[in-house]
Amino acid sequence: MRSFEYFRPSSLDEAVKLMAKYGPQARVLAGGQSLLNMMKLRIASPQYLVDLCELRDLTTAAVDSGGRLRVGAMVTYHQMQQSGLLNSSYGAISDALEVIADEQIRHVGTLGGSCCQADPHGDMPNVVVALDAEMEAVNSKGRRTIPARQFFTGLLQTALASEEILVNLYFPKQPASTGSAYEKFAWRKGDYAIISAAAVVSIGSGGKCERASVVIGSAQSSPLLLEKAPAVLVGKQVSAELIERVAGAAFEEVEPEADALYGSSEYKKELVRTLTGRSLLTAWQRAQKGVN
Amino acid sequence: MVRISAKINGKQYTAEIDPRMLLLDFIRDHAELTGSKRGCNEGKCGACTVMLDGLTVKSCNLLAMRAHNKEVLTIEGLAPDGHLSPLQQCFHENHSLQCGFCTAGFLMSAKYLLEHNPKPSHGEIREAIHGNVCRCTGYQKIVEGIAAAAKRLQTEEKETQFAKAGS
Repeated sequence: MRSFEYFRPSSLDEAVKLMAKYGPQARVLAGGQSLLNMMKLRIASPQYLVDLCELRDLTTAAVDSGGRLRVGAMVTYHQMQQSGLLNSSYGAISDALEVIADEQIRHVGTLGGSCCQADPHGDMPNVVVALDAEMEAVNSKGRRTIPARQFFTGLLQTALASEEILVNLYFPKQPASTGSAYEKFAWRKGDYAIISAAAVVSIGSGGKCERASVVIGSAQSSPLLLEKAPAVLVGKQVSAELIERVAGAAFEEVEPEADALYGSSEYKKELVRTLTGRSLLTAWQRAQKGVN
Repeated sequence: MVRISAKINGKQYTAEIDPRMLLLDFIRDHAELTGSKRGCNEGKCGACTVMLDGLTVKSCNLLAMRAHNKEVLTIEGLAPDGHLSPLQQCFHENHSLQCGFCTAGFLMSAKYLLEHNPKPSHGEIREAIHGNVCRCTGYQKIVEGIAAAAKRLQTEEKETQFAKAGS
């Protein structure tokens, strides 16, 4: 690890000022479960490290008056699991929390950190895109909100400017009878995904699908929000057979990048089909429970 | 240099350190508690697992400064008077270790599990030690050791309750 100057601001204002001062030479430290490893390998060598661990406001999560779920960027996976805030419409978040790394890492790793890391094989980026979350960032000029669907811009790249700090994630209130789910395939549980899928399904009275979204992770350099496949489902009576057709459409739509270690594009396309089907099926079952 | 003050196994340690120092190095080099091991140094193998304010963490993947004003519990804190804790005893009796390099980490994860789930199933035990790697035992003996400890701790608790009720 190359040497750096360490800052531990006690207020968000102070953190924002530090980032404004040091900009591209500085990195924010959240849980550090990815960043520290990158620093050990000198893939990342920030000259200034701004540790947000004292900013208690960023470690809270709650449902706000408008019914949105607000999650502070420093809320750990463990705190999220313990929060009791994750109903079936947020099932995809619960599913992802079960399969991220291991207990020790879930005690430290944060939702905000994994989004800012924007690892194409990460879990949370897919979930926030599927649930159409909004990311709130601050800098010395003020606050802005970035839709999660525009947040992930490439391999380890986000829409955040170098001096911006992600402070909150907002998950919109889901319509009644909404379910979501997350599925991933890896050689060992807790590994980075080879392919993953996050699905959200809303059903109306009579069991017709009113809204559906599917996000495929690990296929390309950032979460892939499918355009064609979910359209097969919307407006129709949901059934296991129809979901199988959606999975087939996802197979057609996604062209995963091949890699030497985990397999060919064809192999990953089959994973896209299987995981799309599984995640939609679970999301649909959760939507049917109508618990929101 | 930055100033750190952290409690390890109940004892306060204060020092000026390079901010790069990992918690594991602070524990091993500064506090000279060498029970916690460096295996992979990238947060995978779990040999460096300690508790930070009651939560298990991988100390090789945490800056020492993250323990500032906090309490760390290492393997040495499990047997402060030199007598093995029931959990450690059960590892001993059930052959839950061979070379022993991973054992400190497994014991911390097992301790955390039993604190939060006193009657774990074998499946739950396997889930709880998911973040720890052992290249000797094949895990079965570790699972048996933890299951035995859960049983023993339950019995001890009952006996304590019984003794209290009797007095």
